[in-house]
Amino acid sequence: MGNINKYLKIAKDAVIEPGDRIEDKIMDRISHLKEEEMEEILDDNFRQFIKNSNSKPYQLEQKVREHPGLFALVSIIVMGVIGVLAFIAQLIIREENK
Amino acid sequence: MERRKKQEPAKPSQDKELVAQAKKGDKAAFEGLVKMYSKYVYTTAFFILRDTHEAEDVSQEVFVKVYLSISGFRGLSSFKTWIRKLTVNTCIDKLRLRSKHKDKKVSLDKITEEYEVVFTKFSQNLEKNYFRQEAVKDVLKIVVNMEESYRIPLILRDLQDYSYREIADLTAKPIGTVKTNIHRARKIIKEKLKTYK
Repeated sequence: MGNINKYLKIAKDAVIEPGDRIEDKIMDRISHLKEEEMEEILDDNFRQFIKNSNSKPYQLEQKVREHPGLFALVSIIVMGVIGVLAFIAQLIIREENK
Repeated sequence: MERRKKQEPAKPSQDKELVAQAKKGDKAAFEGLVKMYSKYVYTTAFFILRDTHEAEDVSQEVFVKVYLSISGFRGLSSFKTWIRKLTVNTCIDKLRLRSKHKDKKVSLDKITEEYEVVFTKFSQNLEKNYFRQEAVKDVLKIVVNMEESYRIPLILRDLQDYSYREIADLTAKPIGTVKTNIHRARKIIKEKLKTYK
């Protein structure tokens, strides 16, 4: 399976040549864009995609979903550090009150 | 005979400058982005949809979407990642809308005539490079001919770097099924490559 992985990795750099000059067709379509077409393209799915791709909370949520274990570990460490600092602060306050 | 062309990969600084200008409404900058990414978008669409005309249609639709929304692009991911996800989403929507009675199977001969594979990166060892590229073309032919339940997850995972979770969300399948299908797809490639030698 090692060779397959290597070939698939190389395949990432492969592009398919379109038949005609696709860039011209794209720019032509944009130049002649009609209102109805815009409304059809800007559907709910697309609006949601744009909203998600521009949302920091959403991106963070996705990262947490991807790596729940890592997020849990970091949370535990952070809470641990806060707990230790709170304990040290309490000790200092007690010393000062004596 | 297929021609091999060397294509310059997009430079990150050039990409960022074009995006920044396109966001301000600079049409020439937008056209620069189209030139930079049109083949990449077309290739992604072709492998998912397996149809040159639909791939072209989706490519146009993707760039129309980019044109209409780029002013609001915040850059939380790279532009390439953003357009890649937009392309995949558009293709998945097309697949859902498409009423398929049976999975389209195009003969291998027809696929050879219809598209030309070009590699954007070259190594110094030309001979080794040639045989490896031929093997990769064979792999891509096999991938294009696979049924959708194997082809889509494999493309998303191995060619588009999606996580298993993202693929599961996109295809509305359990993660276990996604992993199994990707594993099976790789096995199919391995088996079929033996028949090519």
